[in-house]
Amino acid sequence: MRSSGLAQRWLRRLPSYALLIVCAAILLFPVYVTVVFSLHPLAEFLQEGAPSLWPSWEWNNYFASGEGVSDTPIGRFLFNSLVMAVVITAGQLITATLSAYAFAFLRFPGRNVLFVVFLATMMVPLEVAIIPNFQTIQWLDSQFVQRAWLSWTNIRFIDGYPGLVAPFLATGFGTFLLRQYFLTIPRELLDAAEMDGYGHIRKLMHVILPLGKGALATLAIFAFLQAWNQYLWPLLVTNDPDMRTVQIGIAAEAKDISRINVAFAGTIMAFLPMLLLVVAFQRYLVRGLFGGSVKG
Amino acid sequence: MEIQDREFFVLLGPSGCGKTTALRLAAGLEEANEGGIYIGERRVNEVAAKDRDLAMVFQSYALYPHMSVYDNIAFGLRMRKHSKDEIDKLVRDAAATLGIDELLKRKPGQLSGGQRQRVALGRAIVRRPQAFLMDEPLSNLDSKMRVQMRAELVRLHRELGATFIYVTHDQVEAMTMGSRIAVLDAGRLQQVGSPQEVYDRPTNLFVASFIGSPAMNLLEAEPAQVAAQDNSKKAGARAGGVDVRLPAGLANQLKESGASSLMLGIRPEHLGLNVTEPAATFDGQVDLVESLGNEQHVTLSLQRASVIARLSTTERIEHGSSLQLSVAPEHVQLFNAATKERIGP
Amino acid sequence: MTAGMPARRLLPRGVREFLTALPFLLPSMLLFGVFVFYPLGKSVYLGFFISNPFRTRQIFVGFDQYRDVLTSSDFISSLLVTATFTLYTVVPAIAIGTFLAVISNQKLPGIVIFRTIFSSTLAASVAISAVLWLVLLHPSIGVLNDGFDAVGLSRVNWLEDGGWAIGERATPWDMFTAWFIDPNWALISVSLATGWMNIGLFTVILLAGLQTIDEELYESARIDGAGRWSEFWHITLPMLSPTLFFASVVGTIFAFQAFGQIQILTQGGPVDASNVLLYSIYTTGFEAPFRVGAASVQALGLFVIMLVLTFGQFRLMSGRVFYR
Repeated sequence: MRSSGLAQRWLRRLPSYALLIVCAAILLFPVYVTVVFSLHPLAEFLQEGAPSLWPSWEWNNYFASGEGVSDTPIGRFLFNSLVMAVVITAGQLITATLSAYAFAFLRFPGRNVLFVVFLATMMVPLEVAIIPNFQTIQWLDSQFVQRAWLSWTNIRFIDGYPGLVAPFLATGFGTFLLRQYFLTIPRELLDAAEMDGYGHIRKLMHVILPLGKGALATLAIFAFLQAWNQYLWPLLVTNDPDMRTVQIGIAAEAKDISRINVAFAGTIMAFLPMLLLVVAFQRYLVRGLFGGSVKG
Repeated sequence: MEIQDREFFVLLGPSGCGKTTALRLAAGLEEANEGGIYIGERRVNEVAAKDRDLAMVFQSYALYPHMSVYDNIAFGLRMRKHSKDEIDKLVRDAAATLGIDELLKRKPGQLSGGQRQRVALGRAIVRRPQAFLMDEPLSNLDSKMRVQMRAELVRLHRELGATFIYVTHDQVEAMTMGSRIAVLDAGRLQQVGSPQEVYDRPTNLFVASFIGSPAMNLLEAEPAQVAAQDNSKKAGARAGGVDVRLPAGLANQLKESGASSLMLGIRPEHLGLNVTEPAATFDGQVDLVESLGNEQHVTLSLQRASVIARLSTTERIEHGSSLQLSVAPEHVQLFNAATKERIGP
Repeated sequence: MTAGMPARRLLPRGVREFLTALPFLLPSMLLFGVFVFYPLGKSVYLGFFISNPFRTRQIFVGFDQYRDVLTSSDFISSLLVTATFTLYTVVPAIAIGTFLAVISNQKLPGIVIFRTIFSSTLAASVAISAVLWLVLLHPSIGVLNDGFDAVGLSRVNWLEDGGWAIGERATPWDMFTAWFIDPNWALISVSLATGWMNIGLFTVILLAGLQTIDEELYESARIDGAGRWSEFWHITLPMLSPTLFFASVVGTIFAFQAFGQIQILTQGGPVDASNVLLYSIYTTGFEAPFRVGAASVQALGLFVIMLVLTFGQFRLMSGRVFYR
């Protein structure tokens, strides 16, 4: 009796599952093909006709020396992307936490006007400002090359990490997101800390940051994802293959048919970490998409 | 407003009357636009909150949800350069005083309201400040817990021998705990005095109507010549057609005040069925009888107003019946309706 | 703090408060100044100048360049391509995203796995999704054409067929009909790669929207005898409309920022068939002859368009999604 009821229930669900599986298969088809292609030897792509849709398990594209990823700049590309994404994420967390703290908890003249100015930066996407920003970075780079008192630092803005990260270290979106969250922290908690002699920095470290972990995670995911997936700006400020990010790197390899197997392996390797990040932190992502107003 | 050392001083007023602001000014969380704030002889307007040697207990307890009870209590000490052992001893002493030693490892989220309240107190007493500032600390507790914590606070006050400044909108808390009460309304101080003084002799209509539950009966009245016991005419008052005889002293003061319209105040417990030599007797219909078990509140509708009386339950009073309530002369209070100030001693 | 005490007394309160807040705001303010507000002004300034081919001299031309660039047929055509691209990437992706969100919003064991799969494409960057689609569309190794062969469809020259966007049309009517009968496969290709990414984003957004719909609405509809379809049309869709609108605005803004997938798949070609506005800014400003002024004018045009879109979003959505 019981077991037949159970079987019936599953039978009723079958069409739903069939539909879900078909949709998932269609959506993931390009990913599947790329995974298969990343496990083909180069010869497979040079012959007449399309390559097989079943992998030939050529792990060399990923691991082995010679033509594998570990031996080519793609390892380097991944490293560059990681450095860029980590620095941008850290920078945004710091600048946004500081400014959100001021907007949420400090009283000062001009606060509302300044907050609107911060929000307005969201309306100016980087794409609009690339030309002057590129000129600024070029100018900074030339200063660091030419001036003796700067050149010893060996800091480079073109073909260097500072140039890759500089325009993204502050965020109006992040300031807004964190401020909205900070405002939900009871004022009395801060008053209590103040009575106990905690200054602004200590209040921030001991009270706000531990309580604001969720909001900070949301901002971190967004910043990291955006930085990692950046394309136009790294293309502009890097020429040296050693300074390419993984996005530019795989795109360059994909255009070269003689390295296309490596490009596919690199694509999978660049995609995988972001996929895991998105899967693991999806609820933070949803919260961020709606400006922090949805409880995830 | 001056607060004595070691006093249990209560700031009482309806919400939005400025009592919390006054407390925050004292704490140094808010800056005064004008006027001075002194602790002892020292002007502290420019002294930061942490240097005033005060501790504060907040309405929401303001416990840090991410820290254990122990860390919450130790939080304030960590800023004051105590050694680790010293902090440990102080925290455990404070916890023992409040009976929360068992809870030190828990997080605030795992505590009941009363336990949180104790932790909040612990965080304040551990620093052994000159004075404690408390902002409606009991308002988030259920009524049973509140009664218990009231007694606890009084005991704590006695044990610590420190000044307590206590903000509340609950007159029962104010009456039961305060050694003195300051009644505030609309940002202004209305009256300062012992609970009994404030109850017996409210200085104005606001205090009269705010303190006491059920509230004092206030009836519109005007000065009049009324018939005395011996049928001679004497100075008195008339409220809604009822003659009110006044004691000689009060009658004189009424005359001196020159007030032309009055409010007559009578506490509900001072209205009775058999008052000998009453100052006034009100005839009316029983509108509502609320029995509390040990006493009953009877609403009597008069011609143009109504009064509430607190009577013992030995009398059976029927809804809708007519009733006579009287008041003794010494329990009649008068206020000038124009200035809202008290007339009389 | 004791050192701060005299200052506490000497300066007016407003100044003191501002000085306290300044260190918190300064890092962001400096960065915004250098990388957001200064570039806006600089773009306007650059738009007043043209440089000679060897970039040795800047010639002041005032507003002439604004007029010339914004009315040029190249600019109009790239606007048209961008608009088409937006249509291709937003409408189908929202429809598919809604469908996926609805079917993965059922209560079934293991449904979380499908939700995760359906939203996973949002993790892809433009470069990754371009390469993922390259394996399908590539002229020699792409697998889609083989599939077309197998089922008897004619092969498509995905990345190199500009369709209606190429060549002159005799009349506007010809141009209009060409839009339907002569597909711009190059633009469709980049749209496929972009739309695929958007599906994940839209599914996430719409799932969040679906979860805000009160279950009781469905229950009362069921009591009234509504079937699945009428439930969808009369409850889900109307209740989802603010979310759908939000998704379409986000998608539109993304479409106007599209660059990488085009640079990888078609380089704006063939001719200008997939030359969206941002790609045109890039080639104008960063490829010889480096017409920085003209590119700045185009960028300002892009800015104004996006500003209007964003303001439209705030106006129409205020109180619905953002500040719920």
